[in-house]
Amino acid sequence: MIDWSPDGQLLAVTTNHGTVYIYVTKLPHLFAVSAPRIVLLSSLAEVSIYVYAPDKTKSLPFRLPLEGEPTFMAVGPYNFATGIEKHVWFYDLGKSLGEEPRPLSERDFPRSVESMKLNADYCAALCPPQLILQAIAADNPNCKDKLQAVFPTALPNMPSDAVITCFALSQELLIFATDVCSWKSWFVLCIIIYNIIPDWSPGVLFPGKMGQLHNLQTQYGHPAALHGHRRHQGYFYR
Amino acid sequence: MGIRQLFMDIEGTKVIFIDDHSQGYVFLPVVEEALLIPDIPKQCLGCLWDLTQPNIFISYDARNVNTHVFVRHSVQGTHTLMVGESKLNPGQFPLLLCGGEMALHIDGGQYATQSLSTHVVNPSNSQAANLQMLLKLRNYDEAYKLCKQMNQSSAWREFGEQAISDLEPDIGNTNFLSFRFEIKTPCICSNSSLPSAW
Repeated sequence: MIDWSPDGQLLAVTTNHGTVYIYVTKLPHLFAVSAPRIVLLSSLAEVSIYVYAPDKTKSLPFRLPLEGEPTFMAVGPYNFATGIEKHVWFYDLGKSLGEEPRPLSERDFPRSVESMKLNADYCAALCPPQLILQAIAADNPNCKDKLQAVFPTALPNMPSDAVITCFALSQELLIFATDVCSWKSWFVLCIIIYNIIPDWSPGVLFPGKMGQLHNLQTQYGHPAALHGHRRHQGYFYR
Repeated sequence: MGIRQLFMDIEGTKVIFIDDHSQGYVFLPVVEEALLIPDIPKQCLGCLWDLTQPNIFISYDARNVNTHVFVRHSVQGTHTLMVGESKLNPGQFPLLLCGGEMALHIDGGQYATQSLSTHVVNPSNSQAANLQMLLKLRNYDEAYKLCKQMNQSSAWREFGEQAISDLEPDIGNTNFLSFRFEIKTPCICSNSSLPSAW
């Protein structure tokens, strides 16, 4: 006998010997990239971790079995995270590319996680309508007393009903954008999480075309970006 | 009005965002400026910055990948430009872009690689067409090599004009140009790698 699961994802085949074989016909498109690592869902509860090389030599992936069928995943320079709804498992990928991943920790978020991004020290999880920035490891000296921030509530001038729709995380910046707000405009906000700045402070606020925003404190604090810009300016008006 | 998607380059100094009207912008946090990206696909699924060529990014839908160039300095002001299109096989989409080569997601948890049409040197194209593409991509190193190989004044002229319009005096204000166009500039570089014939 042969039969399909209602969603068409699984095919079951029975044999005369009393064995049932189940085949997976399609997988959800789940992936995470942190160059040069590419992590792809390769079975219902297994990911393949590839190391991309520009010279087209394709190395064999490391296959990591997971605890369950993930709903999201994220990879950073040293960590891999995957989870089912509220629950997240973190893995340590080691300091070099060839090392074997090993389980690091697991934790629960207050709401279901829609997507997650990692940098070397922090994870940012979008749990609509909030965005949670959390240290991956609490004992990391780079994070010290800055272990968690929840947006938009962490920003005093932002209305608490602002819905965060998407975000990006680099080593120095957390950038996020909001959906429709009470003042009918959107904006992009960069939060600086660079270590030399004592507080996580709002950086650049970009108001949308539809209206004016409340005036948040604007402060340039990204040293690399500012340096680059000044250099270009000098070059421009030479 | 809302922002649907955000795509950041590796440092976070350039951010692409796509709003509810499917319009894409390059946002520069440092100068608080947002530039409209022309020719972004209507059903854009995502954008990726090239890891090794920081002025190149792609936008893609289910079928095509568009190559865009971000031009920070030019006589036309900061702008972006669509320079070409590459076809995708059904079910594939880009994961990463490195030096004009995409890693594509394919079924079964694997990836394949494919070069962007704009980054493949097509031997059947004329050298002039290849030069034009290199100049559009602002790949001055390769364009310089090709000009040297072609050794035609029209090619050098095209190279020089493009460099000057991009406000690249280091590249454009060469001995050749000052000789050729009799431009008297205070900052002529002594670029020793230029052909002595000029």
